[in-house]
Amino acid sequence: MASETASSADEETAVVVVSAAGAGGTDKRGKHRILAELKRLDQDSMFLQEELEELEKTENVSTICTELLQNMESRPDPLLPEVHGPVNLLWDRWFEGPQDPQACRCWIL
Amino acid sequence: MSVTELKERHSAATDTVNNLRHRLKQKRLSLLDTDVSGYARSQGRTPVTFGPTDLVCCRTLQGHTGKVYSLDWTSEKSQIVSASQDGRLIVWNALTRQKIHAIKLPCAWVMTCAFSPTGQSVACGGLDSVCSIFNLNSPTDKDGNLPVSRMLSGHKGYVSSCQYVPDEDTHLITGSGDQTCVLWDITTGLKTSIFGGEFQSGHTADVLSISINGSNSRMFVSGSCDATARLWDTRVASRAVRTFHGHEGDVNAVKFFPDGNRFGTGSDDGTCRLFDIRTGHQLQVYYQQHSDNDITPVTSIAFSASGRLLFAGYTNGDCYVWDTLLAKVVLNIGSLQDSHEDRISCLGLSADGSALCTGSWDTNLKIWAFGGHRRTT
Repeated sequence: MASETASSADEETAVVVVSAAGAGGTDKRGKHRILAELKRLDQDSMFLQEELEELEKTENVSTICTELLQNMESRPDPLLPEVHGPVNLLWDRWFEGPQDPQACRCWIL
Repeated sequence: MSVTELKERHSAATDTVNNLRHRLKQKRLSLLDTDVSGYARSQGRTPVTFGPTDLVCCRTLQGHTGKVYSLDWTSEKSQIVSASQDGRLIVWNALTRQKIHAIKLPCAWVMTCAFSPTGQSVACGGLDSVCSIFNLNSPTDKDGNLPVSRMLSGHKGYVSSCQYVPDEDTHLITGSGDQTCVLWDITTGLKTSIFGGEFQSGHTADVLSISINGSNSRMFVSGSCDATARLWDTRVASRAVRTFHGHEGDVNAVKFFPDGNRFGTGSDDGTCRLFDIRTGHQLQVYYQQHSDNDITPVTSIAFSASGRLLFAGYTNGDCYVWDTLLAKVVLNIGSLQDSHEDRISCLGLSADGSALCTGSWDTNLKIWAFGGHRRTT
């Protein structure tokens, strides 16, 4: 179930492994790589903190489902056997004129 | 600061991020008190039932000589543009089946196409990493071909998807294999904004699909090979508004729900999912084992006008019609008598929602409409 939550929580953090040469502090590339990764982690941390604060004020899924249901059932849908509201005659324009699938066989090459 | 100190800071920052992710996951789980189907059942809803002649194929559009990869409807007239690997775009009158334009493309490896809101121009993109715009009112050249009126160049990878900004023929959004999405000003041919890229909260793999919110055209969603969908605000390109997790494979298709508050996804993991954009919650997973018992990737999705039906095309040729509320497959268009002979690669609903168009590797497009008796409530 945990893998089915729509959260940024599922994103794994990739840890940068610095080469042995970087340990001495002379490898500028190693240093720059860690700094760049650190910047990204700080940014991630900030975004996640924001998302967590936002989530504290977020309603349960059942509340959203109530709204979804009301919204869905108030819209007319030409492809459904049961229509809420008036039927538009234009919906059936697809059944006017020739319907034979073999009627047009011209090819543009 | 020494490398050793930096490494310590890096380690601490990693722990902080992982801890926050864990807390987020727990908090989100606590809010998942139900899903759409569980709630709908608790409210006494029953699945949609289709009779044998309710959804019927009423048109077959023949003319392409290669696999159809993409299609799009006009917002007004009953016209469709389709893109095929025969190297052509064809603009069809879907009612009469007539070909209005056959556009020979500079690059045959096309992956996506789109109609402009006014229906005056079409766009396409593919392996040439360019989004080409064709003005349908332009005169043809001496060979009878419609010339490219604008080339939007700048992506560093294939153009997988494109969509015009609703009510604007001047702006378009593309998704690309270079992991970014771009908002273009077609008039100048320049990039207005780039979404994602290095060290931003963007996708970490190819972008495969995009969908612009019909209710609020500043918002769009993208699906990617990184198994996530991301929500973007065109005014804030530097970071995604939200990242949606859950899929375990490439997100091949994304489509906004009719109300604009939710969107659907289709993935290589064989599932479709419904997400809420305001809360980030995953509301439902749509999955059913196929007859071959393998995980069958979803290639394309579309919602009916109310959102009650979710159409999903799969690589094995199935095209499931899901009852979005009950998470049940109520019909398989792929198994109907007049269906395609190969995989359904693209789906699209007409502007008024009265017809579904399917495009296939069998080179044809088919129009499906409701041919049964409607009950009104």
